[in-house]
Amino acid sequence: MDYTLILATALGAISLYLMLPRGRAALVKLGALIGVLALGAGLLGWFHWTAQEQAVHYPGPPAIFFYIFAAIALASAAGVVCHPRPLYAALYFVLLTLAAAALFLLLRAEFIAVVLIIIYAGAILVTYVFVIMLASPGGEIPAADYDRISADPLAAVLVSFLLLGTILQMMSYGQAALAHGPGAVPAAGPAGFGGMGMLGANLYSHYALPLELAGVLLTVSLVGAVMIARKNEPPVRMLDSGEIPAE
Amino acid sequence: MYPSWTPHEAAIIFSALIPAFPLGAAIVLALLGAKWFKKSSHVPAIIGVSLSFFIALKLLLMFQFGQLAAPNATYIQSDLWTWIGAGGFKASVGIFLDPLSCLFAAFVTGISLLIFIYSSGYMEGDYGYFRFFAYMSLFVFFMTTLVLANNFLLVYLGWEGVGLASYLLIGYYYPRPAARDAATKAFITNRVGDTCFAIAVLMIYLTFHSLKFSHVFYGSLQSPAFRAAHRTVLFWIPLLLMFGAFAKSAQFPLHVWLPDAMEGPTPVSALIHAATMVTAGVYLIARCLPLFLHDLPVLHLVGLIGCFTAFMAATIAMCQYDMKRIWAYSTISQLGYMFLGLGVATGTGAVFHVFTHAFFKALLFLATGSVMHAMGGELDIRKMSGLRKKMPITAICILMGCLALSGFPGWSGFFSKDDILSAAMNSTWRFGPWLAVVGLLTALITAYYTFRVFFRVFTGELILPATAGQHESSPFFPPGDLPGGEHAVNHGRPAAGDAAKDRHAPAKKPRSLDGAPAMWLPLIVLAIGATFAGYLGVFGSHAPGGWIGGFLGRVPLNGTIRYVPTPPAGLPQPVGGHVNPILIMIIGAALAVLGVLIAAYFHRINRQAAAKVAVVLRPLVHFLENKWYIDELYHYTLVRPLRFSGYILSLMDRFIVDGLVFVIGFIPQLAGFTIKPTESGRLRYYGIGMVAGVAVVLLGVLYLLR
Amino acid sequence: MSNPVLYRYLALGAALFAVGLVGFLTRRNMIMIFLSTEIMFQGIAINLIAFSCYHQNAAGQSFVIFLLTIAAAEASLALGLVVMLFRRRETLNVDAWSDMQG
Repeated sequence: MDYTLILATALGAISLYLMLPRGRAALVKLGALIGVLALGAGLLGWFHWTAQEQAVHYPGPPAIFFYIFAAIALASAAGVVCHPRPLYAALYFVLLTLAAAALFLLLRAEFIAVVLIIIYAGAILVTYVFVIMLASPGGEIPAADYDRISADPLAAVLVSFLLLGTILQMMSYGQAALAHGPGAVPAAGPAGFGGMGMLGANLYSHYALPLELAGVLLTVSLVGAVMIARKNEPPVRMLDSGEIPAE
Repeated sequence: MYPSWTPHEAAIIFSALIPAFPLGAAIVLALLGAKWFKKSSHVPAIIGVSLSFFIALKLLLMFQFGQLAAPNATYIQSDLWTWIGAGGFKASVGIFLDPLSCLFAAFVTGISLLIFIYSSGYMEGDYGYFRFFAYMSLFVFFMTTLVLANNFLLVYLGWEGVGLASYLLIGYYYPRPAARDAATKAFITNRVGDTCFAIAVLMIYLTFHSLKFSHVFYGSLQSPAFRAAHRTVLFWIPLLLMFGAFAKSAQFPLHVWLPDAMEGPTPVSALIHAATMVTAGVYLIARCLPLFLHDLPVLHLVGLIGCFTAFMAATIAMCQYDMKRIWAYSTISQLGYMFLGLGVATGTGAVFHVFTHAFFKALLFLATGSVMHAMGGELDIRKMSGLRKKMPITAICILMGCLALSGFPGWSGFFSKDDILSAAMNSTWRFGPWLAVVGLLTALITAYYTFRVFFRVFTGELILPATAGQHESSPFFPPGDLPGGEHAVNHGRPAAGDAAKDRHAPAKKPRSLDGAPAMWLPLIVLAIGATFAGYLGVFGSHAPGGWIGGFLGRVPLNGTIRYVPTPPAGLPQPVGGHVNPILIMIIGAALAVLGVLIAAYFHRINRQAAAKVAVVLRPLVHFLENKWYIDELYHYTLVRPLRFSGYILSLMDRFIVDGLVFVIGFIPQLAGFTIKPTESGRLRYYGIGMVAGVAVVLLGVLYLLR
Repeated sequence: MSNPVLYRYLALGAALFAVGLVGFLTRRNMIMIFLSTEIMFQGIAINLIAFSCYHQNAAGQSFVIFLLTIAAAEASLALGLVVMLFRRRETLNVDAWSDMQG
């Protein structure tokens, strides 16, 4: 693993730690700055490999697109995690979804990219926003305490980025094994790769039953959600300590 | 009913039913007694034991008429099922039938039957009526198991079982502290012997690789090479068996529990602590005589201790005042005689004495129970006199018992005692004749103390204790009544207060104090047995020793239990003298008559003389009244040091062991205190921990990949 | 570094996963916790798509379809739960629901 990636990981951790909501704007800006530095370090690292990329004559779209959308995705993910207002966080998430869809397009997964936008940005995020609107306490002008002050940022950032660093290191070890895989270099590939037809054929030939089960699961979860969120359930009375309910 | 069974198979199956019936009765009583049977609890117990008795009698007759075994095999044995199977070790529940076990089974169940019938009258209205009969049935189950078992482990089960039954029945009146203490004392004393017995059983298994009698006695033991190779073990096994037998049969120095065991109900004393259980030790040694004959010094030790115990207990019995205690010491003394007999290798004589002793000692105890019943629990022979006018049947029966016990010519004890003494006189052992002399002296003492009781209590002017006519005060109180309250009555009988009123009222004079027929009928049967059982050892067979000698002579223990034992070639012959048994008989008879006459002079004709002699012999009387100070000896050599060491150990326990435990307990407490904050119940921290764990594991894998 | 193309996609996925994990562990708003899990889902999805392209195989894309299904089901149930819990306590603070802690 390259030292630039270690640096990028460490900088990312610091920036995320600083940006996590703590009720102080100055730190957020400093964190954002360091985050930019982290992205830059990562970019440097990846530029370092670009030379090698040229050597293997990767036939896909230019790498610069990946870097742009990856930076957008990471920045918007940081925005989701760090923004003290859930609504803005949800909007950052939409941005993340769009960046991810763009990345999918780079990987020739056109259908998935479209579905991602439709389902995530269109359906799931709308639900989130809806619930955020529904379940926010009144007022809302200053964000609620539990949104403005995050819990245990240091420990969480440390363990998460320790895990990230370890994973990155492992992947660099795994490179050697992958090199001799069946499609070591993504070529132009069979006609229609990534298209809807190919995916449909694959789903309905190999994964027919899981697909149906997924549909059932979706239905069941919908019914369950309706049952859970029903308004007319009896309120649960919480007993004080030592109180005995009179029947 | 059993068309395809051979007599052999039928005998095995039926003899397996002998313990089964009392066990069934015990279970039925334990489950249903309190709710269902209540005052008729004696019915299942008596049915069970009488069925057992008839089967045992039938077996005895089958053996007598040779219907069971082939001519060259005089025992039969069979495994019923496997009891314990662990690896190479196997112990089974099985039956061993030979004349010895048949005789024991028959007289145990027979005496039990009579005592059960007696108990149904004696214990009537008692609070724990069903419990009493359940325990008694349990005892009969274990005792018959003991005598019918075909291996040492099953004998050990029966051995422990009769100990348990004895413990339960001594402590039957458990509200009484004395009864509880006596039960504990009996149990702990027996523990010593039981441990020795258990070690002996283990050693037998390690030596012979089997626990079956047929294998141990008739297998490799017969080969001289085997005996030479296991000389040490073959010394220790009989020695340990001897200690086991001595604890159960109350021989010096483990005899101290038996007099205290009289705290139990009188039928218990009669059945367990006189007639049957205490003879289990005699049975064990008689059964294992082949083992003992290979090491005569151990056998001689048995005789020596038996002789000493007989003498010691007889002297103690001279100066006791509690009737039951006198009979208890008398039992110890008579058991000493039996071991004396075993010590000079006359298994027949010893078993014969067990047989006759069972009759007359059960009779004496039951008659004493009748006296106790009539006198309201009073047993001090100084407080009563001339009872024969009030209790004629009891008086005649107890006279028969006394004659038998004292060895009066013509009564049963005379013949069996004579058998033992003449065998001792004829022993090849140098000290055998000396033991016989001590035995004869003991016979004199026995005759004296026996008739001391009889003349004191049943003859002379009529004196009744203050409690006469009342029911013995019960330690139990019916549920719901407070002790000492107005209703603390004696369950179905007139309360103490009523009886006191009755005595002031001139009417309602009791006609006879003999008690219910259920009480005096068994007395008569036992009196007949006590009188005539001895003739079984004289007539009935051409062999020396009469029917008993001929019957037991067939016990196939390599001829060792024979009237004149012949051990295997190459071993010293235990019997070889030439003193005429008739001479011993005459001397014994003369001494018994002399003892009776002395007793008659001091306790019938001139009671003041007895008091004068007692004053002259003050130190000796004190010594005997205090039972040779053996309890005190135990107190100062065992109880005190143990209590002191217990105190020291408790200090150690409190400060060292407890301290250590506290420190050890403090470590997890400290650890828990340290990591307690992590168990906050907040999923967030668990999540952080989980992620950290995954990261650490991956780092480890990474390190390994390098 | 024989295949940097796959590697950089996988690294991006891992980075998104880590950022989502930080959010999951630090946010106290129940909605935000679920939103953070959605970020982690995105990281996983990028992983799967990258492998799909690398192996020239549609299985990875099919898995993303399932992933989206699960995400949709999870979102619907989770948000239903959030609504219900909000009604009980009038707050979205997840620490308000720590009655069962030891």
